[in-house]
Amino acid sequence: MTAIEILAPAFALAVLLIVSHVYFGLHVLARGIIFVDLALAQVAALGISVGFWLGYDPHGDASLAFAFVGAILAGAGFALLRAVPGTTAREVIIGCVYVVATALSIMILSQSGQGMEELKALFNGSLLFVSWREIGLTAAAYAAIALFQALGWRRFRALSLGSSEASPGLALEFGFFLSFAAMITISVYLAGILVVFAFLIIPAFAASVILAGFAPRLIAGWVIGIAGALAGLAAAYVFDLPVGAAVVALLGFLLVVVGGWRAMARSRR
Amino acid sequence: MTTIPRRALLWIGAAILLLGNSATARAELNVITSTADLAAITRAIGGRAVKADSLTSGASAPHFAVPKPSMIRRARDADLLIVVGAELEIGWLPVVLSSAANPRINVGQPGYLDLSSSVSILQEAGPVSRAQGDVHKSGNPHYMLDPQNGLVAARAIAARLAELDPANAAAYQAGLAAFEGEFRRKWPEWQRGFTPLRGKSVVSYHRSLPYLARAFGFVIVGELEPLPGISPTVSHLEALGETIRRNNVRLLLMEGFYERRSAQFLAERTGIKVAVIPHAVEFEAGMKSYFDTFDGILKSIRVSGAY
Repeated sequence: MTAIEILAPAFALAVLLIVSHVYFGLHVLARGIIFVDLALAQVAALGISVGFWLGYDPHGDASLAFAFVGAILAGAGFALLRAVPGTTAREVIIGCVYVVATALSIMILSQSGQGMEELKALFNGSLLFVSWREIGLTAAAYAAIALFQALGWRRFRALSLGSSEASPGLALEFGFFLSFAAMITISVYLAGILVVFAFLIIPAFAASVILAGFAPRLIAGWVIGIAGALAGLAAAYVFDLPVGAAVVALLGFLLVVVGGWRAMARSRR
Repeated sequence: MTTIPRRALLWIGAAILLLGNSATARAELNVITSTADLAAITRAIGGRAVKADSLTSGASAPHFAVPKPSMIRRARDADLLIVVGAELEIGWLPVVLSSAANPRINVGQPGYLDLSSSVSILQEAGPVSRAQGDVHKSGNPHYMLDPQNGLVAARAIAARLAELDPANAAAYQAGLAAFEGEFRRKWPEWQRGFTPLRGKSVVSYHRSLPYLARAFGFVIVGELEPLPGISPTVSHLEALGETIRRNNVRLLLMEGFYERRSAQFLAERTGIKVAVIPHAVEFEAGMKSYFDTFDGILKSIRVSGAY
């Protein structure tokens, strides 16, 4: 059981997550509501907590179902938020959902010692302990989501990059959030909230800082994300750090580097 | 004139209530314990003369208990508090006690019984500080996993019960005698049950099982936690894999309140079997006596298929 053997599944999952999350991240950034994914992730985590409270194994299939129901409900709610005028009110609602969902999870999980451990796992994730079977199932699920997105990619693009005040078909909006929620559910279940949020936002944002256009940003986001994941896993091994947190910290560092490079490039002109 | 009989009734009623209450208050000794094990032993010895309750549930980790208002209420009403000691409860009990402000159960009073001074404690080797993780500086507090310590605890509890409630001293002696009889019956049974493990090396999740190992003749060669209270890291898993290979380890023993994924991961990579063991009474429904814990541990080991 060498270090490479131990880290291989974690890296494979990280790549899968980055490829999918950067795509959705660009959409989320374009819409200008960043915290929706944090809130969605937290409601999915709340779903897992409720499942655990009702006696289900937090790493079993029933748990995933609970998480998905939570994410769908939140997704439906956020889709309806489009009707609320002004981004401030929307941000407030999303922030409240996040905080209250977190508090409810803590309340539920503080009932038992194992619950507290699982609470830690919901935030830090168990990137390190993912199995090849879970990676296979995740790849299949993400492929299905990718297919769905690919079939309607032009309309989804218009949805996100278009006017934020217009209210295009609610069905399209819901379709977008449905696939988003499905993806988030699986990634929170496997990798935890911190990693999911970081993968969603940081590589996409870093790419947006240095490039324009959806496709270039997508590619750059993948490169930055995978580089960050590699560096994070290496740091976790060398410095004995928790894997999820190390990856998130390294991605943050890369963002600073990219931002600094951009600032320097601007000042040279 | 018509108000006098009504007032008299009021006084008579109050007198009845007060007398009635104080009568029931003296009926049982109100005992609270920090763990479910101690409550079970107290009940076994005290029988109907005591009302014993644990502040923590047998399903959760005693060192990570969350202080709750109900604990303060129960501490306020208690006549006797029995604790494991050795800093096991240091994360939550002191707050509960100071909030309850019950002078009967303060440290040093007859209503406070710390069992760690009666049993034989295993010290952790080397200098102790927070840098070593969540290490307890007064030795390893998980001593109740050696049934011989349970016996010592039972004797100390019986003595204290008799001291606080001399009227029922004979009943406590009888309860203790029954407990000792049960122990003498179970001890050889357990020794037989643990024979497959004798002399073998196992790994545990947390450094909580040295007493169990000492009582039943096996060796713990490593833990999933790199340091007590710290989650497993990559380099530690690597080293642990090596330890497992070198010592021919076939079994991981872990308490039920820890996350399972790291154990599953280890099992998949190294082929060892995982036994989730009860660490105390009431971990599962139907576990009532202290002795059930060890029966439960043996059952989990058998079910794991390691031996």
